Amino acid sequence: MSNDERIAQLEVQIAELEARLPKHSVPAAMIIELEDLEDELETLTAQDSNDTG
Amino acid sequence: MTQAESDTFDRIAAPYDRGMAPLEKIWLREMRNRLLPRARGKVLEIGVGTGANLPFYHASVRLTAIDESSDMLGFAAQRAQALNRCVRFSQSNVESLNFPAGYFDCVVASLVLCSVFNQRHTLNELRRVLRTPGGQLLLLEHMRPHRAGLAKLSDLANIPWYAFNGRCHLNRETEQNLVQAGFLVEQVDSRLGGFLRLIVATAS
Repeated sequence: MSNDERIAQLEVQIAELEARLPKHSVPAAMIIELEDLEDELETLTAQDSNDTG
Repeated sequence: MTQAESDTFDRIAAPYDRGMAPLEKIWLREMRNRLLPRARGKVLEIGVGTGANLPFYHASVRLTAIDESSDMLGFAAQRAQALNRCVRFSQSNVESLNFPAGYFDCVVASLVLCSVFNQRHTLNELRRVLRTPGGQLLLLEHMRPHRAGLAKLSDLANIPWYAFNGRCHLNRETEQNLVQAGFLVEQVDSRLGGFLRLIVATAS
């Protein structure tokens, strides 16, 4: 899978997870899952902009 | 966390900001403004209450905020929305954290460690979830003053105060307990003879 495809996939996964988050109390496991996805997205996006920049 | 423990803070959630307003104006706002912009990266705030710290965080911070009280969290969520800040709120016990070891770059507690049941255990938990070395603990807490007269006064006042509210202690040796829990205290800024302290410490 290319970086761009993985980035698109991560964005969908993050949006889906965020839509499922309870408003006032998010279980720690969901926070960790979301932050793991965001970390991966951040790393890939940075790689992508380095490659194109 | 028992229902009774959570109820204690649910009961005071609505009038909390109004009750704290004079202290905010005189001391707390300025201290929050000095302390919280230091937070960076993945940040955990324990006992977020009504979210009085939220306006002071840097925009880049990835903030998780927990509290025992659902009512307090409701007010904090409203404040986050008004500030247009993304905060992940979770109702949970601040003395037993559901996060893995070394997960956060920074942990924040303000006016919380006076009210936990077991302060040493809580401090050990905070150290556990902080990245080592270098994870930062930012505290704004009241504790037993270092001036002898005031320390004696806080010991005496603690008896009726604790009997009245059942949670908050006026005379905890928080700074000493911090060192015993394995933190390296880097900066202390005191007000009221050491009754109010802003503390920056790192997990060693």
